[in-house]
Amino acid sequence: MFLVLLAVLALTACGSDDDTAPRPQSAALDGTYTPAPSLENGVQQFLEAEQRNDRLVSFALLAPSARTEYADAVSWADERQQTPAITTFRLEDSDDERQSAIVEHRPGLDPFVGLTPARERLTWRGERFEGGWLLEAEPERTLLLPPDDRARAAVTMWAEAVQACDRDRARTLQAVETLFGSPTAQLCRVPGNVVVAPLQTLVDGPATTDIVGQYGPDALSWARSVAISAPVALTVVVAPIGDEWKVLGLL
Amino acid sequence: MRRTRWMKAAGVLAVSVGLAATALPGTAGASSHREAPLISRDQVADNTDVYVFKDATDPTKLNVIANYIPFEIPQGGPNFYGFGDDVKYSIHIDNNGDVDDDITYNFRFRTTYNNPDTFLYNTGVLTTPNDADRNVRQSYSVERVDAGGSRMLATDVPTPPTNVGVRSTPTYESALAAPTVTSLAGGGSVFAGPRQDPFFVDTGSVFDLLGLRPLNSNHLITPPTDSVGVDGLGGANVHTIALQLPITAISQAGNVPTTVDSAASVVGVYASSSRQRVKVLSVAGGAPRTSGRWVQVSRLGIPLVNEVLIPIGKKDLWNASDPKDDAQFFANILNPEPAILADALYPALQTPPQGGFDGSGTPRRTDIVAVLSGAATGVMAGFPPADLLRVNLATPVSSSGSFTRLGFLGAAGDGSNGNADGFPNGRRLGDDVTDTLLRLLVGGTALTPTPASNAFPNNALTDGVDEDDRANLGVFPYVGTPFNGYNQEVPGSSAP
Repeated sequence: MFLVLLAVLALTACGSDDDTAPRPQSAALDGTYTPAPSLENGVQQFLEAEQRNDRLVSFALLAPSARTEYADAVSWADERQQTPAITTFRLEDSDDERQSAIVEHRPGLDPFVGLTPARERLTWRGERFEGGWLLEAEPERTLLLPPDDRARAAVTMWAEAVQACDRDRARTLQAVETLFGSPTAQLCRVPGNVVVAPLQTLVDGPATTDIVGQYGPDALSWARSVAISAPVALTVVVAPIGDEWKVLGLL
Repeated sequence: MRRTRWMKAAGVLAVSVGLAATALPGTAGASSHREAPLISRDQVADNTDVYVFKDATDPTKLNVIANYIPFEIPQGGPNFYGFGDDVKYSIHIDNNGDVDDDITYNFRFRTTYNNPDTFLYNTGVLTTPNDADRNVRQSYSVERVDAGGSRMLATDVPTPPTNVGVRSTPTYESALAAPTVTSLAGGGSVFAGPRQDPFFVDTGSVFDLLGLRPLNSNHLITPPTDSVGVDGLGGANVHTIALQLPITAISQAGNVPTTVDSAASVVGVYASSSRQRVKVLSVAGGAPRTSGRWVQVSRLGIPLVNEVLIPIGKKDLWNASDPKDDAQFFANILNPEPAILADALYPALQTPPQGGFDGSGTPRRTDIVAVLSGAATGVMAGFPPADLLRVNLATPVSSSGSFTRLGFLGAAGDGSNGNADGFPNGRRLGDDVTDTLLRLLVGGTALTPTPASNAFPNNALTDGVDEDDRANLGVFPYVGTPFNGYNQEVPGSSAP
């Protein structure tokens, strides 16, 4: 019986007479490049294609170096489906090798995409290809954030709402239903004027782990902290939602 | 005589060491519980089962249930169990038959602590999901991704707490779980949280060299006495993500299909989990920092495929692959190792000839191909074979009185009076996928390429566990109330 079992296992290991089952067809246009006449035109075409969710066209504008990250149009499309939709864009004056555009989105904050800014500057480097231009896959991103003074005003209004124990009003000034960090019960009904300090960048550390865990390390670049010194000491984290700052948590 | 027995036993034991590492044959391991090396060490990301079935009360809706976190013991305090905050859980739908995602529902969770200065999970009796005495809370967000991009369907939705015990959670289902069922933007409902594990299988016997307790006397190795099966998942909990979706929101044409033999009536579903590529541990005892692109670490469509048809050397690759790339595994799937071993361990069985493809390239196991290609859904032309749980949205829902656990095999196991809406046309909570697949793999169904194998005992194989140990709910999310910790119900504890 032992020998029978060994023979059975050997049969299993050897497999069948012919293991070459047909493989599925790869996606169309995987090897296609459609270089643009200029870098500016390439970015224009790219953004127009992305705006109408035409991933095949935007994929065909990617340079060979970008294809190492996205093996085919299907994987490119899968990735792009989860990027924020473009509402409008405007090309900026640029030099021969870099082209920028101001791109606008419907703003938001969620644990899948992270922050979707209302607007950002995207800058592409181009690659010469067969007399034309192709683009890198990941442009340089610069978030265009709301003015700092709006953050201090937002924190003041929020703190005053919490001070008045007005949860509904406080929620309208928050980016999330449940704030990150400690509860704010200690501010409710505490008398005194709210005093806030200037905006600071967020410091990486244990206190910011939850925020970074939800929204990615990019959170350290767009979130800000505002210290409240009176009537109680609190450090409030704010996020840029559209043209306003909203409270995200407490440190 | 004694010496001969010892040598025989030693020989089999030597083989069994290797077998044990390969998710023992029996086709009936837990559906996908700890089925691959890497995921067996990553419990919170382990996708255990997927169920897809039309709603009996409202047939214009489709229920999709994905379970995660296997073998939860109810009394696992003080932290109990929860979804991973650093995991992305997903449900994928192919609605045009090209084996690629057309719609994806993604879930992300977030744990918060009401009072970090106590060790307690709850500081009093819980009467609502967000009770002030609930210290450990978990909430989640849901997004839908399709050709139009991504959009949020729900945010900050609470999960029910753990069913701690008779003091902490005395009115669990009505007060703590049911209220967390939430409407989705655009239609449908969602639930996520602890449930009892609805899968049923005799894991203890099956992994003991393909033992089937009702057929002990037919096994090559003693014990010789037949006995009833024992549900190895009895008393165990799981974490469920459940969606109840308008069929119009997921079908290819945006309608409720009525033509059974139409490719547009069928959708294919699988679930998955993903983690980010980079994880940096904190030296200060804080949570790890994760970043980078998401990498799939677990996936499941048809039950038991990765569990028992994929060899251990490829199981992790399977979990990282997409269904559209399943051709790389056909050589294994169409040459099922469990069937080969069953032949040896149950001499009375006569399984179909093995070997994936004949000389002309035609698969020999056309019955397995039928399941992979969705032929059982009633669409004669079938679809490209892949591990997708395909369901025909036009198939009528069987009445509760005509329900049979063997789905398309029917109550008698011979295909008569079967449920057209039973597994493998979708999968209902009560479908006995273990017995169905046991019989399929040994050629004991009407689909077999060799009619001679569709006979006793092949078509009567069973692990002896015919139903779950706890009733399911009659309403969404349908998966039953989780076992509570106070009652200390240990999985499989009812074994003799």
